[in-house]
Amino acid sequence: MDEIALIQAAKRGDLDSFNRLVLVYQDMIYSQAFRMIGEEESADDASQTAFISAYNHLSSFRGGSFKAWLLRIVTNACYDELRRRKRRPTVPLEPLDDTGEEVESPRWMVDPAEQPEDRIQRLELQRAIQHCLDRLPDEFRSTVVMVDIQGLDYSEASQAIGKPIGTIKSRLARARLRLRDCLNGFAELLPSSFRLG
Amino acid sequence: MKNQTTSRDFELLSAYLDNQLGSQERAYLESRLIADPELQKEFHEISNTRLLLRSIPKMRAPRNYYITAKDTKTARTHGFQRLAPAYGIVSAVATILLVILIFGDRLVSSTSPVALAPASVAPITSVAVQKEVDRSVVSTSSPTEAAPLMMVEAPAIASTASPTAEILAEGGEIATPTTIYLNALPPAATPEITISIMNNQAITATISCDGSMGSEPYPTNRYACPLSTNTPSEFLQGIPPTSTSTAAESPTPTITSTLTHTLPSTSTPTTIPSSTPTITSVPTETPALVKNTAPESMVVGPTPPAPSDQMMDTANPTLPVPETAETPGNHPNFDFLQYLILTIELSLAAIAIIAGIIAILLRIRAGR
Repeated sequence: MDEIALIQAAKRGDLDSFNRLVLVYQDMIYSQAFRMIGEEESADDASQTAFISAYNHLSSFRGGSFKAWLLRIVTNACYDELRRRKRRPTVPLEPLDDTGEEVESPRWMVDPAEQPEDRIQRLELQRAIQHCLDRLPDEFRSTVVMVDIQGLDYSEASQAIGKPIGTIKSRLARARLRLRDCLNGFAELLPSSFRLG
Repeated sequence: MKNQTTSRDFELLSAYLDNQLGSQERAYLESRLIADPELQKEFHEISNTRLLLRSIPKMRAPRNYYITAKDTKTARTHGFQRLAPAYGIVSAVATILLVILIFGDRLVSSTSPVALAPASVAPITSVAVQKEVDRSVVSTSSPTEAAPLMMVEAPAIASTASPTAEILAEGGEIATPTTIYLNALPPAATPEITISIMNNQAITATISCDGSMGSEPYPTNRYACPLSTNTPSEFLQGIPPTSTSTAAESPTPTITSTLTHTLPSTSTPTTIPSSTPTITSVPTETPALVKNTAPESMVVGPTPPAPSDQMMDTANPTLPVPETAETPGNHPNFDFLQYLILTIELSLAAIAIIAGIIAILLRIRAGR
């Protein structure tokens, strides 16, 4: 059964059809939520909330890219979570060094079962990228994650974010510029092929 | 010469990487990239950043996000929690309306003494009578100002057994408040004696007597022809007999309840309080009307002893009863309005409290 038929069946109340769509897009939704929030538990909650909201508002889907429609829902759920976090800030798990700065790679976070150098480097790089993503404004972060991580084109990103393509272009350029400046501070973590500058 | 890269240049570079530029913009940017090494460096850095982001491995969901029927019910509950602001608004509006109703009622009450005194109806009738007097009497001395004095002095006059009510006939100087009650009497009910204050020129009460009153045992010519004397005892000697049916049997003059005690025929002091030494012939056919015109002084005055003569007996039926002084229908209307306002206030208070509690509970649940 193709995607359109599953959507139509889900609109008629077929929960199984909708769950088949969930299986198709749940990795993408969770990835978007994690890149937006930066925390697994909250990303998990946001993903579940997004699928429930999508099912309850399935009648509002008028066609187009179902992926972009789902990304828009999960992005809004992430915005809600981020606003709630700003109202009630949480204490980071990362320990602080002598100068009060966060220790990005505390020793207790390293999985002792994984010792290969490349895996450590990959994890460090992912943390550095996520660190820089977290410091972006929410609207910039959602745009760059959709285009550069989720692989949406400008048109789909425009549909998912609800802004014109010109806005997507502008946000994407400014987000990439900020990410470049941020990642330059983690030059030692970057592989030689990705060294900036 | 070193060109500084602008935000517009970064937008072009970003769109160029994503192949989102038109042919002209692409040609323009490529020519600049060849000529400007600084822009070329920026291009490589942005390109590496983009590649770095795209090199991130895809994440896998930690579990399956299957939707169940229970989840849909939970979603409805969350939708109900979104109504918290609406409940808050309802509570606020109800509170504002309640405050306006309470303080607005007090404001209106402070400007309207009649509305302030719902239990005492006598002031209402007094105000009404005063308005009537103001319309009918044009005098430099306000009769409404003299009224309280007469109300106080009336019992004392009665206790001296000497009628001292001063009624100035035509040419009198003071329009006594007694005219208030005289004016309220039905015009057709005074065949023998008619006291009218409707004459604006006379200022005071005008007493006109019937010609047949001359044959009555009591002198009446003093009423027909206003006396120059101001002595009430002299003046009251001319009180005509009553025109009621009892008057034919006993020529006792019927006087209004406020003046009955001032009759000279009563040797005992009449203790009937009267704030209005009004002299009039009140037909017994219309006791109710007389009661309606009863002054409020009857309410506060001492309990009159039983009259000792026939005149007092005939006068008693015309005595106003305190309860009759109340305007019929005033209390029920006021009670209804009062209960209505009270009901609205209680309803608004209940709405404000309940909606406020619901809004707070929903916000607490939403914050968890």
